[in-house]
Amino acid sequence: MPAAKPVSIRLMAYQVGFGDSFLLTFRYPREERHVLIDFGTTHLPDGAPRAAAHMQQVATDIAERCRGAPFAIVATHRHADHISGFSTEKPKHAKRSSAGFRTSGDIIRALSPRVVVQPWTEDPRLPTGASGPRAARAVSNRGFRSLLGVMAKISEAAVREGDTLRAALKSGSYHASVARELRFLGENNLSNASAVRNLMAMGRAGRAVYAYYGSRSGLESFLPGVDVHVLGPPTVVQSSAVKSQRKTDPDEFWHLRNRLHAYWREQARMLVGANVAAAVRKPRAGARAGRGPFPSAPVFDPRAVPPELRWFRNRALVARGEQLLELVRAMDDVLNNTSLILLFRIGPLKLLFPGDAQIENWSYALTGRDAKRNRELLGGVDLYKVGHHGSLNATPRTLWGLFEKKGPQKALRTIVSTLEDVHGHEEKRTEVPRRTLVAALRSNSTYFTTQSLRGELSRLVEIELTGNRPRFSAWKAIVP
Amino acid sequence: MAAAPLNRALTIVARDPSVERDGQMLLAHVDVPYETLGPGPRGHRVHVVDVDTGSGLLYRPRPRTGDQDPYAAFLENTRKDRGPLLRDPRFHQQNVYAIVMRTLALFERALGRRVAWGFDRHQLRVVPHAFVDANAFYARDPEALMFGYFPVGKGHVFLCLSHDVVAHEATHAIVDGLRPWYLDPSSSDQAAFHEAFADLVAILSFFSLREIASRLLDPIGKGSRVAARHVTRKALERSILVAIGKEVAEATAGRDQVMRRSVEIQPARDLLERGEFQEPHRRGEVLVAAMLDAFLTIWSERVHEIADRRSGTVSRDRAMEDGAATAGHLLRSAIRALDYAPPVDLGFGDFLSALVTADRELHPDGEPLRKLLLARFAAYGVDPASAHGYWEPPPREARLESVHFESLQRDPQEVFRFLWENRGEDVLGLDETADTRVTWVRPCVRVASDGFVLRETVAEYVQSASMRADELPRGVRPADVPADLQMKLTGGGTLVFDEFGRLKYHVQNRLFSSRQAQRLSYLWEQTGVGDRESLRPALSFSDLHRRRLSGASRPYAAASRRRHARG
Repeated sequence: MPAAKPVSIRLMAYQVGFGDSFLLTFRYPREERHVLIDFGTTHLPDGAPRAAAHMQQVATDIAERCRGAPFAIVATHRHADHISGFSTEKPKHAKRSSAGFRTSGDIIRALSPRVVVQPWTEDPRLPTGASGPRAARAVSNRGFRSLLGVMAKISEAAVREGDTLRAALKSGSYHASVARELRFLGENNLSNASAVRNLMAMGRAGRAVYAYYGSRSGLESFLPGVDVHVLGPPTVVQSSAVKSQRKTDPDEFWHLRNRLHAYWREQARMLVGANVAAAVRKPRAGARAGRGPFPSAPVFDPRAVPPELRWFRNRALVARGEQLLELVRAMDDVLNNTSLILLFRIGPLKLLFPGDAQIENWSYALTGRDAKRNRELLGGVDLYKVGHHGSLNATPRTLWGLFEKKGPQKALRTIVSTLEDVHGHEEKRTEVPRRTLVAALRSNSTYFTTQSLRGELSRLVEIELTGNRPRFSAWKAIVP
Repeated sequence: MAAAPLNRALTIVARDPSVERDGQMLLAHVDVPYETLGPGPRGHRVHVVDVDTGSGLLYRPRPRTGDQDPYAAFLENTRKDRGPLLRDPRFHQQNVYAIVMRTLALFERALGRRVAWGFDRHQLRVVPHAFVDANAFYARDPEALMFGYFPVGKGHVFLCLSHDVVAHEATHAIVDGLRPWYLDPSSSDQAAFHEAFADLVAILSFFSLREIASRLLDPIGKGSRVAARHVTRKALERSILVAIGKEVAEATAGRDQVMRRSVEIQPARDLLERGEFQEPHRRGEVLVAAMLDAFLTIWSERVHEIADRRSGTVSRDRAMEDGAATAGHLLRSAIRALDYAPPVDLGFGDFLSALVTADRELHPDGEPLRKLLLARFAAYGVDPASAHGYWEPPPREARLESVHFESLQRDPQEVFRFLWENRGEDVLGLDETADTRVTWVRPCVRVASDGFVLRETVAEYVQSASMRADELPRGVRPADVPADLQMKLTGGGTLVFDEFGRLKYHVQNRLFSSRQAQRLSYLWEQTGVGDRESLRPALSFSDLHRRRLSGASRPYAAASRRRHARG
């Protein structure tokens, strides 16, 4: 066993483009212990190698630093930009080459993590129909797992239909950007089956912990001298309690309600069952629809649409694209709100890692039974991993208002792992990272963004814990 | 040359394809204003364009058919199989055209004037098979109503065949033309109002299809008399007549389901304070419930009076006649209320005051009904914005010396002159430093059911100003707002002139008032970290309807939960 308390902490932020990957190293007098928090990407900066190769490089770096030392994993939620690196699926080119090819997921698995922490919504043993966190009354694990499959199907259908719209519209940067965002969000919501399987396998080999608000994190014995508070996600039962206790409070953990699940299942059935996409590419001169709800109905040849209808047809296609975007954004929110919210407290030091949690996830911690205690706890945060790559929804104003160390003195440290110009539109105020949030972070905290890593694989910050107050180093480049 | 007829009769699906009698989908003939139709149908206000955005297919339009209704035979021959209508997109095209035009005509008749759309064109596009989804919506861009469809078993559910859905969406488009600022973020009441009003129109307008509605009073749907137990207050609450979205709900949630039955909300004074009712769609249901409560109270009492105690039955025609008359009366007053409502930052209390005032103007002897309305709304926690229920006349007579009445009926410049000359605190109380725009002015000729004619001119102005928070007067600046935050203030009013050009009502939300403070607080609560203005965008009906169907909605800010006091 190590001595009871870490003497310093090292946080490494990896360049994973639009994604998250952090390695927290707890230094005890006689050993180091490592926690990998998320390991995924959906979009890398220009000039980076392909995703599989890049994540392989990151995994190799992590392996070199952690080899032989106790190692644990936190996967905050199952979006690709947080877990894709755990995939053990070989890229196409590798399938034909040597059998010894090791994916990033293989490399991480070889580190034999002792603990794998995931949100309760990932627990494969959650029985149907029971109650409690291991068993939300309203949504069973089986139900939730099938929901994830459903969402993957919707994403596939939405991406396909988005491509159809793009083909039909042919040009126009706005139209192209709608289709691009559809593809981006749709792909992030895909099932990531290989990564999920690998996380489960690593959990089985070590210890799998499925945490929820107020539960033990599973890292207690792994990290002596460190309190790890789980501030989210709440279970359905917990959020129902909030709902009934606070009649005047509209906050609720809405995304786990049965009605919503039924809705998504219906959406999948409709979109997949209808199989409408791609029909536009095969004009049939003359005449009958041949598909859709009225196969024998007369239609216009797409190459000869009357001029007076073309204008409106294109606008209708764009409107549909935006409607699909709303749909996939809503799905994105559902998964973001299953994020683990972890607060590490080491003596006077507090580090906050909220994954991609949005206000619905935060609301139980901020307004529930323990709200006072949680607010005090959050008030003293020293380092905040900015939620959801800096999007507008993931740093609720109520949360930001609690941070006592923010301000011109910049005692608060903030870090965002992101890539600009990938997601959202500035004119709609949905760009990620949100420009105005970044400005507030820059002027009120010591801010670091992985966007600043140009050609570097990672940077690190050291936090000394030997005095009365934690002392942060500057962000340092890693010298090979 | 023969004069063109006033109306054209067209066949539509009476309610939605799931509502049947004698094993057949119920159809109805509806009268829509006569016009020379082009293929589509394409008329002077509505153009049906049948593009399926998912497949890219563009169905050929229903051709010109002269004055003939090509589907009349399906209604006239009750034995003719009506199934083929479901598989004929051209019938669907006719169906949406007829219901949208009928709904528009309803508004124009009630308001006594033409109604423009909320965009700069004369024709609203209507897309009956726009995409695969259990959703339908109105959007300013692409200036259209879009209806979805989705597969069920071997067939499909088409939202364009649902009277509820089409009338609901058409109402969104019409109200946007009348009151474009109601789509802006301003308060939780305003966010809820569009949905509530669209549901009310969808439900109450169906009663004008009297013969069809009478067949839905009981499960048998025929015979001259109906068992009294089917027309009690309780039974009417459970009736399909006051529900929304039967076919869609049954296809997605199971037999005997409906999407909404707002009248089942139990009245309580604190409803609007509760968390559940902060979501716009749920909040809107409170308004619907209050109105339907009043409607069913009147109707069931009348039915009770005409019931034959011995046989335990009621004349089907009489029962329906009373229902249709009451629904028609309430609906016309509700539509006219839009002309008596403030153009910006509408609260439920404003709507209630506008409703009873509009009703009094045409039905001076209808005091009992208005008392009932005020009482039933109060039971749901909705109190009128005006102290005595009705809007008060202006405190002092406005100056008309420099204003030409003839111009005042049509010319925004003339109305602005009127505003300017009367801007003082003693008459209109306008802030002269604000940017003031007269957005429209229209003469109206309203006719009551008894033939009484009311001539009015209605004008609307909007005021705006932009200033730093620390420049705002005390009582207007919201708490916790940074001093240097630039805030956009919006206010405005509706002016109702009588037939002699005298100002009867000035319904105003002032630029500097406690009400403005609540509006600014609501918007401030919606800002993100570092943002300088609210992140809540204008209402998207596509998103709103999706959230409504799925039961998902983002929490609303605390400020929105505060009750509005009139400023």
